[in-house]
Amino acid sequence: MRETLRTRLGWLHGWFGYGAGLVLTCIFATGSVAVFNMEITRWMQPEVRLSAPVPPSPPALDAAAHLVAAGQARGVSAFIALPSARSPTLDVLHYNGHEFVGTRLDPATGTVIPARVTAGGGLFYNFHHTLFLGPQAGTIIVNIAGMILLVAIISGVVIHLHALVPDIILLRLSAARLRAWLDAHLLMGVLFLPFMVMMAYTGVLVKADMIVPVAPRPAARSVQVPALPPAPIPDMTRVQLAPLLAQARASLAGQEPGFILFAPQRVSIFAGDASSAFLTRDHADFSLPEGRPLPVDATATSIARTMQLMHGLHYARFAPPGLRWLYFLSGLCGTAVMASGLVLFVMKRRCHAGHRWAHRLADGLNVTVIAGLPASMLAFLEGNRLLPASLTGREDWETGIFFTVWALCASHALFNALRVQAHHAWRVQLGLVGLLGTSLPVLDLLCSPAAFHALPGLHMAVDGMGSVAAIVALYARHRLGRQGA
Amino acid sequence: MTFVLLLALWLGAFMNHAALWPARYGLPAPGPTGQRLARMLRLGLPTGALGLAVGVQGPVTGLLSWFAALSFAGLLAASLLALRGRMANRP
Repeated sequence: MRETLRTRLGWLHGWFGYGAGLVLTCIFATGSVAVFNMEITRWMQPEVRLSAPVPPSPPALDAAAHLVAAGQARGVSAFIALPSARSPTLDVLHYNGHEFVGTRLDPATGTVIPARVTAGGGLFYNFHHTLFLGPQAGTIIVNIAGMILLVAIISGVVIHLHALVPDIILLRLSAARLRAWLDAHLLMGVLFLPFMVMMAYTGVLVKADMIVPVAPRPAARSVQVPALPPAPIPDMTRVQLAPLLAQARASLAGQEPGFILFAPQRVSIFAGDASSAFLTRDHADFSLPEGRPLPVDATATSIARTMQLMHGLHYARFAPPGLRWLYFLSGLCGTAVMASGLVLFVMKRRCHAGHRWAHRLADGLNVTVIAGLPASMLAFLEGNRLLPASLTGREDWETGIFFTVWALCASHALFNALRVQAHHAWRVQLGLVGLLGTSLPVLDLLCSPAAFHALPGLHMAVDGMGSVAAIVALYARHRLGRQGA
Repeated sequence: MTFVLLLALWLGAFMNHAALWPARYGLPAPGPTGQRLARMLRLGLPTGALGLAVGVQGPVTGLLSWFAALSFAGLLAASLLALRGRMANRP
């Protein structure tokens, strides 16, 4: 066969796409779900039944400051997250190495809400950007996968260039199976190209400093500076946060305050991420313990403004609920593009390489990613309802359930695939997704009827997504049964 | 509501696109006037949708909605045409 640019790019698209596609499918699937990370956390804490945010009262802010001070005395660096439309509680949070966890307070009274400890939607968010491999190694792997996605997209566009516009909405359901899968891959790949390019490009850019570290500027003089003794932490229980919040609201020019961070010498009140598409992190600083306003340099260069927009577009925290749903659905369609690519890669090579162990391994990995991951995500949600609310180290148990179920799915898929029984693995795991998805609303209604009654929209949305996943999985299982291996 | 309008405009544009490639999509070939009209609408409807999106929702949210409407209207158009083709092929 004559080597042309298209055949070479076809090889690149296939092999690079498959190698990174296994990881990227997981990244895209968890990223799509992470669009609703705060809503999922609310679903996973049925004890929190506040429906609308109220401005935090002075006693509530004082109670939160007391908790921050108590945390600092224990060596835990916490901050205050103010109530917002997505999370109506007043939260005192700290980073536990994977997620932001902490105490939730009623913003009106300042009383602690006895909510169960949970990994929450933060698990999906953390998995999306670090694969749970730690902030350094994980982010680098995800960033490299993002760059490979851009290469795969460009090579895919060049391969398909001659038919890109004419075939933009071509889908032949009655054609041969391979052709129909290819049509579905191309259809969604082309239609969701703008979304996938935007997410891959902004995703790579916002974490670019992890793979391209900023070169340190050479010091003008090599002077040994003696280490300063740590600054004493002021008594934060004497700081009145309510007047500072009012001043910050006035100085943030139209942006609603979102977070209160504490440093030894000052308190910083940051604008909420929902304020604008530009994730500015504008803030008002006050000295501690007097509460005197400190000067803040709010000028941003054009590069900084561009990066703020890149962050804003990727995290979508500014997005109203409707746009957030579009992000979620587009993310799922992007996941479907990658999943169909994985299936196509194996299908195309089945005739001449189906007997090889590497091909069977690829088949097993496809089952692990496409059916095993949703099963483990649903098991994670169900684990939240089944684990005792007062269990110590609850968030670790939930995370353990997620990874244990996924590992079991992977073992089952690989064991069957290597025995040329991948078809059986598909059927069993799609059935498992169906079972877990249909039982999710039932379990939610049985375990948390009061929360369901208090927040029906939230619970119906999460339970409904589980049910939709179940319907899709059971339909795929039904089709698989009709068509054979 | 704006998104539903954007979706409808993009759906119209895709249907006009399909009409311009009748052999590919199994549609009856339009006459010369129909072709001219379809070509105009294929360009005009998305342009109108872009103006509507940016005008109502602002540049960032508007552009995001416009692209999302492109994607979902394309899926809808492809599904409708595929179902139509399947019905037509039924004995």
